[in-house]
This record gives sequence, C-alpha cells and structure tokens, in this order.
Amino acid sequence: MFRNQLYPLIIALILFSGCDNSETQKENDNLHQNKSETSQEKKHKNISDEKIPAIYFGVPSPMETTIILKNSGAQFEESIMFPLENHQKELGQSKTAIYLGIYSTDLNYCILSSKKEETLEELSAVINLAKEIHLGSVVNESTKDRIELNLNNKDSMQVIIASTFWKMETVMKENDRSNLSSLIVAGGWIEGLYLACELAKINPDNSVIQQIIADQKYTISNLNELLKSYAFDAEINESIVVPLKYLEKIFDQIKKEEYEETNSKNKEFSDDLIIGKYFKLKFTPEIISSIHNSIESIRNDLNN
Amino acid sequence: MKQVLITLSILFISSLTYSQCRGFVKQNCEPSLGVYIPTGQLNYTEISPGSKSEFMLTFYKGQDYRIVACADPILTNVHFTVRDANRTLIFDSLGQTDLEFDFKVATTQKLIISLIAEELENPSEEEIEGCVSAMVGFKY
Repeated sequence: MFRNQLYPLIIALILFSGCDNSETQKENDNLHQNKSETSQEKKHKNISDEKIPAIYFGVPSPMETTIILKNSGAQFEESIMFPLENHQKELGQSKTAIYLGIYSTDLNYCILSSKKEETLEELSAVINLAKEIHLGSVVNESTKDRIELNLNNKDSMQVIIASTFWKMETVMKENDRSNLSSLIVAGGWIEGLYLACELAKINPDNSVIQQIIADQKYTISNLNELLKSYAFDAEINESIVVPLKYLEKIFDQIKKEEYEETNSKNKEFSDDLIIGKYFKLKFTPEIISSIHNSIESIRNDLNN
Repeated sequence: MKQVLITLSILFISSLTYSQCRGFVKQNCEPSLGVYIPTGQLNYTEISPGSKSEFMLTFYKGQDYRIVACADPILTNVHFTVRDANRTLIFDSLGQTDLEFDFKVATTQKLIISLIAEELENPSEEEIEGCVSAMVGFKY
C-alpha cells in the first residue's frame, strides 16, 4: 500500500530528471543510481538492482528542530508563537492536522525553554486538536498528567512527547491516513522555520540561527517530496503545497559548496565518529529575508 | 456488498500488517535506541527477500545520532548502508552482528539509508514479506 503510493512519485522523478538541474533534483536522482556500488556490494548480487526500491523522504520532528533552535542560545519569545485561541476554531481534518503540527512545535519550544504554564497551555491545544482527528487514544488527559508530573524534568517530558508523536504517526500510517500525518509534519516544520526567522530578526548578530534557517534547504526538498505523495484538496494545495514549492525555489538560491576540513581539532581528536562531507552554505541577508517573508505569508494564511 | 466486504477486508489486512510491523519495531528496534530520542522520522516498511527499501533523511550538525536497523527473522541476512546524497558509501553493516551505527555529521546534510534483504538461500514458492525498520535517534 505504502509502496503503491510512492510509485507515481518514483516515476515522476525519473521522467523529470532530465528537466531540472537543481541540486535537489540531483540528490533525488541519486536515489535511483548505483554508480558507486562497492566491490563488497557487488559480491552480494542477490539483491536485484532492477527492482525499484520503496523510498521514504523523512523530515525531522518538531522536537529535533526546536532543540537545534534552542541550542542557538536565543531567548524564549512568547509573542512569536501561533495564537493560542486558534485551536478552538472550527477546522476541517486537513487544517486540524496542520495546526496540530504547529502547536506541537510551540509545545516543544515551551518545554525546552522550561516554561511550565505555557507548556500546559500548548499541551491542551494539542490534546484538543488530536481529539478532532481521532488521535484521542494517543494524546489525551493521561499524557497531560504524565507531563504535569514531570514539569521539572525537561528530559522526561521530551521522552514522553517523542514517544507520543511516534505513536501518532504510526497510528495514522496504520489507519491509512498518512496524508494527514504529512500535514502534521508540514505544520510542524512551517512553525519551526517561522520561529527561527523571527528569532533571527530579534537577534541579528546570532549567525547560528541564520545557519539553522539556511540548513532547512536540505529539509524542504524532502518535505515537498513527501507532500507530493498525496492528493490534497484545493484549499491545502493553495495554502501549503504551492507556497512551499515557491519557498523551495528561494532555498535553491542558497548554494552548497564542499570544502576540506583543515581544523584538526574538529576532525582528528574528536571521540565521535564524524561522517559525511563538509559543506558551506552560501547565503545573503536578502535570501534569509525572502525566506522570512515567504514563511510568514504561509503562516498568516493558515492563521486566517 | 461483496465489493465493500472485499475492500474492508483488504483495509483490515493492511492495517493488521502495519500494526504487526509497528509492534515488531516497538519491541525489537526501539529498545536499541537506548538514551537516544527517536527523531520522529518514521522508517519502517515491509519488503521481500532480494529487495531493498531506502530512506532519505536530514541530519543536523552538532547532534549525536544512532541508526538502529532491525528486521523480521523471516528475512535472513538483512543489512543496512548509509550513503551521502551522491551515493558514496559511508557505512555498511554487512557482516556485523549489531545493526547499530552511532555518528555525528560533519555539517548538516542528507543521507540515504538503505535496508537490504538478500535473497533466501532456499527460496520458497510462497511470497514472503517481512518487516524492516531503520529507527533514527538523537541526543544533544
């Protein structure tokens, strides 16, 4: 079933591979190539390469994104969060899922900032929205009780929330509602990027936040690929799908440059295994400003 | 009516399969994450021997990551690879008993995780499918 949903995506990727030379396209094309197979793998020819593998495009959870944001050292700003009263509006299933993602990001932001009262308020919004899309069995008053018991323990709260969201996604996948799950992911990502852009504006000298914004170049292409797997109604297409494609074009202006790490402190003496290549993202304040304007417009539309 | 019943049956079986797969992942993969928090990038599916499943995920600089792969025992010889976005091989668990990999990334980037189930030595005529999963956890 999951694979069936992905076949149109795979076919589309193959068909359009010659039409788009963007980095994203190149990366996605690489999913279908096997040019750098190692000799070790060649020994294991039992795997039939002609079979098209199922592909999943992942997007980091709101929790991971907000943790990175919090690590930038920016102070908590309550005023930049999504208006709390909005969760009481009459919403359709799709918009409820998007709102659930948005409030989940704000919830994580409050948890990481040790804002107890705000955490409980955001959690109430999340519970209310989860109920609306039949996830009441996963996120409910007992979740709130567990959070309340652990209000002084940020780590425990994160474990509870991470486990809850993992269950939410799996329940939706099981019930063939992955389309709504993708909208939760989209809502969470939109809010995370919006918070980052607002914090960058408040803290113009904080280059870490600007880097976090630029790093979303990697994630937006995965998010758009994920959304492409599903058919949404006109309202969602107009308010989310099309504007996110436009936003991806702005991110395409950020160029990726590979470099050799020469600082041995970063490389050789670390106890951790560091993998992958070293990339520098080249961006200007104008690009960051365009990203901010675009994400603000998407979020404002959702707020109406 | 018959068509409705068939459709409902298919939906029920699909749901049951995913439910079983989730149960399997929860029981067999999640504990291996240890202190690492699941990233929420949900990566499990069903594959047959001789096929593979791929996940393209974003990894952020500064985080410690653990990838835990696990597979239904019906699929013998499952291993996983980690490649960069240009498909350069970074890690292959082939021949290792533990299907775990702890790392950090040099800079934020996308990585491709492939779960590979090799052909059975004595393939049966019956079509076999088993649950495979690559769970990603992080700590900070």
